[in-house]
Amino acid sequence: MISVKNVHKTFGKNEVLKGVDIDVKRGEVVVILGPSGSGKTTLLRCINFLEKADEGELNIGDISVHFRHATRQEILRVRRRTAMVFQSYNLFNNKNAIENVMEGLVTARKIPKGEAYETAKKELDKVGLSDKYNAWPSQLSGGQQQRVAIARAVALNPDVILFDEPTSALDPELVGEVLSVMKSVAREGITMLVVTHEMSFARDIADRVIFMDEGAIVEEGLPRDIFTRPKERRTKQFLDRILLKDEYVKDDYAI
Amino acid sequence: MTFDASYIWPSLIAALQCLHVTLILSFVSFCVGLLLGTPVAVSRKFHATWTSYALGVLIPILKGVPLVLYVLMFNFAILKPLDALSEYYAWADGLRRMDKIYIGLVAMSVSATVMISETMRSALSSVSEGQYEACFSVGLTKWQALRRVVLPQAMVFAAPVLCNNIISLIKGSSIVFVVGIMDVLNSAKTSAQINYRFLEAYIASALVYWVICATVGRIGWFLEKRQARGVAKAGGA
Repeated sequence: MISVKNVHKTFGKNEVLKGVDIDVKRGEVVVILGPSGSGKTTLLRCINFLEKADEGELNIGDISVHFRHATRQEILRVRRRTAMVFQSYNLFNNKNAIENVMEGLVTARKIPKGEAYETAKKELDKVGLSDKYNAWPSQLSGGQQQRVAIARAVALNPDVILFDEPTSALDPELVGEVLSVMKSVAREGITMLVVTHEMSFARDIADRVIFMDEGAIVEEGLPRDIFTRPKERRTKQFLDRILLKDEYVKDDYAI
Repeated sequence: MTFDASYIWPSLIAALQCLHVTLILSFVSFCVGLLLGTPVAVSRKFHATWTSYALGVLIPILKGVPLVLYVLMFNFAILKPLDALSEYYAWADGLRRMDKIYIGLVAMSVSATVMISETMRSALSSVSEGQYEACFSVGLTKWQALRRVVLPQAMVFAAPVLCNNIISLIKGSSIVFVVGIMDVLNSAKTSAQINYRFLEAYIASALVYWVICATVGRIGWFLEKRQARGVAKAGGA
């Protein structure tokens, strides 16, 4: 479905990605874990060309592009097959909730306005914002903004949705509502590639967990294998640190 | 000679008779400035082509030239060649006698373009990178992102500064007297030449400028309030 091969990316002297390969099957939910600075976010951003990778190949459906030599047309085609949910939501500030969801449909995909409006309404209803169609981003809480952002991504019916730490900027009490929306998106069978620090999400929802450190994949496997018996020492160290902290707050995140 | 307020009135009437010249000079050059300055700002922001680099050199140079020099230079640069040509061509002789307001318009438009391109450049920088990324992530092209999302938001940031820009242009337009254009100031001044009541004439023209600027400021304030109610500048993060 979507695969990246041998992705390399350097910022100045700092080698952020050192040859990463990932294969995601249709409908699969893959969670990428790793300490900060491990290149998870950069990897996601390279997939839809928000960063230009130095090396590597990308296949989405029938599209196959080389990161370094991609033309503007190819980049646009890839972006129209993918969607992204950002850490800081990035809703269009000059548009209300429903216009935010419609924008990509109407302007990028040339879907008639009436049809786009119906789609947008349906998606906002699904994320529980049926009373907020006309709200401006500034009138929404962080959790509501992120739910609009998820509706905006899902409405495009992309081959894959990239989630870049979607709950990291949220107040702790708002994390739950966003995670539960993400769970329902996962249940719909939408392909998801998720960078997150929410261990409960990784444990309960992910089909596969990838652990990255220092720009490379350290290990990957089923969540229960990774969480209960990690093969690599670095994975174990990371999980010990995170899960210990998680124990204290797990109950607050009950979904 | 003592100050006599009764002399203000005739000067005021003279000034108002040329009100349209001041208004045309400032508002037309503002519109030209907005129309040309915005693309200049966009081009400089995105380093789109070689033109962006050329503008990056040109604009800072032009920014350092005072308005009065533009007026004097264009007066010279436009009229001198026509003087020479008019010895051979009738049309050049006709053009030579044109209303000097056109020279004022050219000079002020250049100055306004430079000024407004800087206003728009800073407004564009106020729109966060995340807005572009969100546009790209839903598959918009750079132009679509600019037109649909970035420029509308930049205009909100730019509005108060643009309002100040108009006021600067209105006040700046008084400098065109150096080439003999009859605007508010020049007309009031001329009216005082029969009785030497210059101070009263200056006060009369100051009143006119003050009323125009206050009105523009008020309209700007009203527009800002309306905008703020509709679209908030920074949503969330």
